[in-house]
Amino acid sequence: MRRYLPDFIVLVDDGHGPDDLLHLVVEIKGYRREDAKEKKLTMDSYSVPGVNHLGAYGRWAFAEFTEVYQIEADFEARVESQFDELIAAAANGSLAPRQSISDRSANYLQKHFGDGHLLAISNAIWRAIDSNPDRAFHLSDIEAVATEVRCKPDDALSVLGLLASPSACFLQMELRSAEYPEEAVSSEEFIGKLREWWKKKTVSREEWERWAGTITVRWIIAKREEGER
Amino acid sequence: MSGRGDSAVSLVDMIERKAPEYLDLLTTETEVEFEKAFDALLGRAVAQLERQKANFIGLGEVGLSGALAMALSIPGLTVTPEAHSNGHVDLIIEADHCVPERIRLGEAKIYDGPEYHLKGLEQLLRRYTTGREGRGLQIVYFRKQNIAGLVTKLRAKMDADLPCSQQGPTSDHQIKWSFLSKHAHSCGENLEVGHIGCNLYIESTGGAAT
Repeated sequence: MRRYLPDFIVLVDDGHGPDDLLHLVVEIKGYRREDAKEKKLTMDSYSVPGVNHLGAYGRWAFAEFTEVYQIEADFEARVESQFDELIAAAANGSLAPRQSISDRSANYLQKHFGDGHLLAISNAIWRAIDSNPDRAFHLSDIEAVATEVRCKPDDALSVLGLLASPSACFLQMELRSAEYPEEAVSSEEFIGKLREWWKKKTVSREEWERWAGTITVRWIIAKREEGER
Repeated sequence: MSGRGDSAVSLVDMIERKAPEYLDLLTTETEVEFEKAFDALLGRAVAQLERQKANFIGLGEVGLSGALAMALSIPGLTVTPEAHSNGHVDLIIEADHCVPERIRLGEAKIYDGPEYHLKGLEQLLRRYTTGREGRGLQIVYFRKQNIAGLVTKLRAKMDADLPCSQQGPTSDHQIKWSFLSKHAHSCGENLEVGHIGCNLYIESTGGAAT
């Protein structure tokens, strides 16, 4: 086990009120070059997505400031961007936050994968979400996205997976039973049933298809993102 | 689509069509089963990258790792490259639909000699890996000729020098031009690292390697 003591945790009132301050973990990279990457990786991959996913400990973000003399400007820019998003959302109505999420997901993909086909696929996914009354992406939308972007359905499925990964957390996959639509089917239950058919062979293909045929799959905007609306 | 629209049957059909090994991976119950299923998928993705290498001539580590990640990722298993200014790319592999969730850490580099490779190994083992993540991964893109000879030389150097507290000689990996090494880690356990070679050498008409 490793202990990590951040340089600062700044409580930012970014418009959600004094009871819901943003916990901004600030790391001064210039002072600790050797372990800065390890901290960033851990914060980006585990701590921040994990604590935001739990939802019980408020909203958390991580910021790394590279040079001492730039801290003030960087910090102002980071806080300013939070306010800009808030103001844009208030000024443009309910569509603005969703556009903001699509922009952020585009930035995420660009940062990790560079410019390319993924951005076009991601944009098409967000357009489908915008056009669906339930503001969700349905499995059956994949073909339309693939046709629009001229990619393979597999590629659209990959991008969906990336947008819903624990690191990205823009979308989350939701499984609902036709029998009990008010209750989501957990990953554990779904994988358990899949395992009974695919691996253990204790369930026939017909039984599996009968059960899974009643489960609807869609991708909804992740709770973290919903909370930022 | 299979005609079953938005159902989980359709999702699993799509995943199975991409590669049946994904279903092996999603239904694993042990680390050993997970490694075996993941290796099968990784081997398939690396082979796909090699088949399409002509499309990747101008790409650096970020672009290559992006292509590899796309070839590997599905809902439930994602590979995210994290680029760094010093030229290498970290890979975070998250199998979040597995119970329990499994995470693997890796690095990807264009091969530039054994020393460069070992620097990446040290970063992976000493700086990123906590010991909880299971087998580490070093993806090595070879743009030079003779991948088989270069991998043999790399293994020989590692077996002679035993870098990063290597425990014994390297061993074969089921993926071609790949091997495994074991290293003592600060967590008190020996950690395994898979070194995965990907042959991207293209012979140009002028005889120079790309």
